Amino acid sequence: MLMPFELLSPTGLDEAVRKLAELGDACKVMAGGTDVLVSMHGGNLRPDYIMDIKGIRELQEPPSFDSSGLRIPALATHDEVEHIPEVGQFYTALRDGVSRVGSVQTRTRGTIGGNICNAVPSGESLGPLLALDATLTIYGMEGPRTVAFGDFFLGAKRTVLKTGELVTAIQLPPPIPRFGSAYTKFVRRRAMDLALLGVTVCIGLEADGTCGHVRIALTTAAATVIRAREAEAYLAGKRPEAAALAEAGRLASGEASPRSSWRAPAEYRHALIETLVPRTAEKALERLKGRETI
Amino acid sequence: MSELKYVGRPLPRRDALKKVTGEAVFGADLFFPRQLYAAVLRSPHAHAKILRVDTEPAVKLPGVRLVLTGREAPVYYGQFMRDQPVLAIDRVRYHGEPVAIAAADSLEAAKLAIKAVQVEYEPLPPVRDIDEALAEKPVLVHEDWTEYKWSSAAKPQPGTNICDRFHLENGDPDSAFRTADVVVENVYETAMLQHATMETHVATVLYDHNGLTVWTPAQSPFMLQAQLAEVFGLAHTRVRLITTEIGGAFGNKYELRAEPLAAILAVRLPGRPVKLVFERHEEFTATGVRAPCRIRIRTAASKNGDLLAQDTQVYWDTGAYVTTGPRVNYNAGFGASTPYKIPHMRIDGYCIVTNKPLGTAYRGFGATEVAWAYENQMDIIAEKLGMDAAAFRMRNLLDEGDRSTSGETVTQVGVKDCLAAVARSIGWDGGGLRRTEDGKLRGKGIACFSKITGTPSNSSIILKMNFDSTVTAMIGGKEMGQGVETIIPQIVAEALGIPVENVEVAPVDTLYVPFEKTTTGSRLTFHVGQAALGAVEDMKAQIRVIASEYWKTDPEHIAVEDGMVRERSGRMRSVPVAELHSCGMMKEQKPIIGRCSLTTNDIFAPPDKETGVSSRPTAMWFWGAQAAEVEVDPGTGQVRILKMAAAHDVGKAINPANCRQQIEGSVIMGIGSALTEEMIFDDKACLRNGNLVDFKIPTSMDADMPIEVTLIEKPHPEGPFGAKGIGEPGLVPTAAAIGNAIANATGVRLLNLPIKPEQILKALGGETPC
Repeated sequence: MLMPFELLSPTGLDEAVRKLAELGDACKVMAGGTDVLVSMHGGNLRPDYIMDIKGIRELQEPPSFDSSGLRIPALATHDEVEHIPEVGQFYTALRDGVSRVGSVQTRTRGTIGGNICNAVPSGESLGPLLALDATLTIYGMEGPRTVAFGDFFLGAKRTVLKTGELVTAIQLPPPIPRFGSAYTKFVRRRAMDLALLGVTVCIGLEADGTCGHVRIALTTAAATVIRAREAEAYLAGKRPEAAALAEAGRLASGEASPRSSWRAPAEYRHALIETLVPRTAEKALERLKGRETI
Repeated sequence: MSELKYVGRPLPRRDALKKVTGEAVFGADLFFPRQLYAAVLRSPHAHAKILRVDTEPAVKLPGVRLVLTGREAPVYYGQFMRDQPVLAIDRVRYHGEPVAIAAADSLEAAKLAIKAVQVEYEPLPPVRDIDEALAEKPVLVHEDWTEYKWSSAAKPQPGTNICDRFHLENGDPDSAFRTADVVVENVYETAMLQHATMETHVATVLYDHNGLTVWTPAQSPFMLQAQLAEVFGLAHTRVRLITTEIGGAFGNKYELRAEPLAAILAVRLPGRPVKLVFERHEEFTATGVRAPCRIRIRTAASKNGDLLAQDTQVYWDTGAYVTTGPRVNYNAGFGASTPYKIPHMRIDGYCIVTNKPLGTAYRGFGATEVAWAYENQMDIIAEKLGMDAAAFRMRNLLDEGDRSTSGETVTQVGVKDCLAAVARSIGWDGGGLRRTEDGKLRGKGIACFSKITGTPSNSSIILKMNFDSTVTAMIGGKEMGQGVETIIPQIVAEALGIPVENVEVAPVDTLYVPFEKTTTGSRLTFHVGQAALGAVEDMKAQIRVIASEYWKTDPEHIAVEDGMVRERSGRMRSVPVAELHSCGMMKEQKPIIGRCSLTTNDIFAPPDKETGVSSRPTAMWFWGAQAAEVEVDPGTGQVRILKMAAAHDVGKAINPANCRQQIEGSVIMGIGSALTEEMIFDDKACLRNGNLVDFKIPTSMDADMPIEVTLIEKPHPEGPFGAKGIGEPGLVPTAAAIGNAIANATGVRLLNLPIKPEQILKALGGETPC
């Protein structure tokens, strides 16, 4: 059951961050509520205050796409992100991610900002955003600041957000030519499940058919979402052929540090990375076909 | 009999609309004036001494009316053994066992109250599994069985953790094993499962001058009435159960759960209804589960493909209290008799107590677990003999007049037809490794089964003809999604010849409805349906009397047939049964009340005390076969089910749509038990995954494969219109069919359920190229 709490519904951003700074840990920020309310019902979270940020005026902007790339408001639901045309066109790994969150109900309720700030190792949008070189816009008492996505997480459920700060938007860089991306979520069941493992691969091909830009991100393979940098470096400059992709999978598996838990043994997660990195890369390459220009 | 009008028709289920619109009233929806809310403090340990409980800080909190501990309210209950305290007394035996309970003006106050209760425990070494329970000088979960009252259905072994034994022996298995051409021995295991019903357990209990009134979603309200009456020392007239809508039961709402907890508060707070709703984590740890099971099984066959002998030992990790474990053990024992002709058979079952959640009835009642073992064995033997798995089964399956391994000469056996039907549905080709273009492995598997229903049992019905010639059926069998509220009107309307919409089933309230033993074992269509036919005959006799009065003739000259009341001589007058009221025939006449009681005690042959053999152990045998086609990803070990086929001998499908729904639902439930569902414990026997994210029941997206259902109809001589039951059978062979298909696809056989992808990947050992 939900124990009583005071609900705050600020309409202005400055008002919101001021109140957040004042209340500190006693206040929990809530957007879609798909994580916060579940924790509260389970008795794991009992805040005195809940701040519902859905009514904040400044956060109501729609997504925008221009020469600086795609800007996604933090309050966009997974379902809304899935259906942003540019996400389907240029940032397909992100579409793969947000389209596999929970169920239809959670996707139309939960937000991408919430998924990021919840900071669990299995977050569905995290791998794609890391591999797509996202940056986050954060707003606090001192005004806005930006943080590279890879610098945002300090550990499981820990981020660089300071008391009184909110993530307001996600910025993705402009698309590059001959680029494809994909995300694979591995689960025990096909809906309402957390990623046992997630693999994101982004590949930009050079004119000679070798890999130029390579990003590989692993979800639920460590305390936070991580990049498999050795695997990325190995692929760069190589033709993305089966043997090379398989080797990238092996390297990525070596870079991961998944935990053995009752949810799954670490060796199984390692084995999945070996299998899923090349498969996800192939899916990214498949999408890259015909993308000579943007 | 003329052509059937309602029986055999796929009428929509009567409870469907109210359930999907939200109109149905569940226990959690009830709110009474002056109602109190209860909350339970539960043990964080699987096994510990309670050194001290201090409720003082809780009692002082605002809105708190009463806080109780086991010492203050020492009450024991249990179906077969009264070993379970409502609140733990001095010792807790499983993680989640109730230690204290609070009643308060609000749910919030009740929850805060139990948080404020201080308990000091001294942890004891938990008995974590069967091996620890059976070790030499084990920790005893219950030190002395003789401290408890028990019924003859339980057979506790003094000085051990064994609370029940089952034994059945037929022929001379030891000699048969010595001389057989092929002998296969394996050990199989199945995981602990939770029923994971949508509705958690709930009870509201009021104690006043009428005694105890209990609003509860009970499967078997009369059984619970009797148990509550015994526990609280009340006459049955003073214990009333009003059943609320059931939001899923599957066996878990068969026994007392929330009722005694709310009742021990209510009896001390007269006039205040006390409501207790279990949260999901309580549902997982502290209601009932399908007990984990280990089966050691040895099977022998001759070179030419005849089964010769089977020796099955079933070990149940039945949890901290006996509850219905002995019944599961018994039903599994008869389930292990298999649908095959095996001349030499030995079956031993052991119920073993541990410091784990409580094993209880779970759709299939033990038949599923033993089918998992013997149907894997059948595939292995067929393979050893170089025979096709379906042909091998067909050769050995029971047929008309064969003697079952448990000692019955069986008739009306549809299992061969079932096997033929699923082989057709799945496109059985003997299996064999097949590889898709993208490297996936495909295979097919089949499984057959047999299952008993609880016998003996008893049943009754009252059919009240209202003064507009409609009929209200009063039964103690409970609708829980299986369709009894739809099926009984079909049977009554057919037999009496009135429109089916003119028959309603009354709500189940023990104060008014006649006795029914239990809503379990797929038994209501067969038992209540028979009673309904008897009650219709009773009504017809009464109708003949009032018609003869009205027409001033002899009742002998009146016939009630084809929905008409007819004069057979003289003026040959007639009136439809559905219009009796309109001609004034019923006016000031004796009200028509049909009644029928029945028992299966008369047909039941109690198993022989030494051998366990019985010439009629069950009112009806369920027979069937299922098949699965799967695709395995050798890179991840993941299994996708491409198709399921199911054929069941239902005797007669009173409502074919409902039969199909029951089978489809069972198949989906079985997919969960085959591939994803298991309750996982830490090394202190505490549950890790007591929530619906981590206990993975299939979602609709995991159940998107076609399920081809065939209904085989071999009329049961005693069944209403030949009907048997179909609530549970669809679950029984599902996991075995899937497991056999996985073995067929991959060439590796995994003996433990669930079959998880990491185990498949490991078993494949990276040898199979992608």
